[in-house]
Amino acid sequence: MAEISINSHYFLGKLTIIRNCLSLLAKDKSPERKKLVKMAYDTNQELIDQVKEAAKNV
Amino acid sequence: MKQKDKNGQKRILIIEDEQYLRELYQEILEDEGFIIETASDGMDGYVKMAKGGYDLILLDVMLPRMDGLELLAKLRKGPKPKKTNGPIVLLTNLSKDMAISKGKTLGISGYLIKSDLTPGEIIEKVKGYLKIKI
Repeated sequence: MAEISINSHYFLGKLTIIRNCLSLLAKDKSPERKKLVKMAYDTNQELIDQVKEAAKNV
Repeated sequence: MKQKDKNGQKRILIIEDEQYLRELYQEILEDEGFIIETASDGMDGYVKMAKGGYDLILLDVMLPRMDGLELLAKLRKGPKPKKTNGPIVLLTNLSKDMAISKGKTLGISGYLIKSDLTPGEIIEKVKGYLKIKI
């Protein structure tokens, strides 16, 4: 598997923006949209956790 | 630019270089009735902090032109702000950021891990620092 080198500060900054936007969108009352936003939010959160974990080992 | 409100609204300075995050924080905090001023780099932030009069300052660590810690050190060495400032809270993305311990020696009141907080939690934390009942 190919590995990528990233700047954790930059990457986390961008992921944090997405997280915040999704968090605000999650207030939408439509169940279908809510489900999609939750999927995007959870996936984004996984990326944040991965980057944080990687940053610990640097 | 908004000035201090006659109704005693709290003034918050957000120093953050990430445009969307800065605008997002500004929007959610303005919706709560706070007066928000912003700076997108350390130099602009320093000029505003040196004038003073903010009830709370949210200060990002990594900033162009002058980073958050340099700004704090410069402020400490320089003359006192014309108007007193309230607590300074460091904004960072990592809980083990070395900047947090350095920031503590430079007078910060606390820190917020941006990547851990939702907009609702940011509002709660801000109100906590301003001692506003939630």
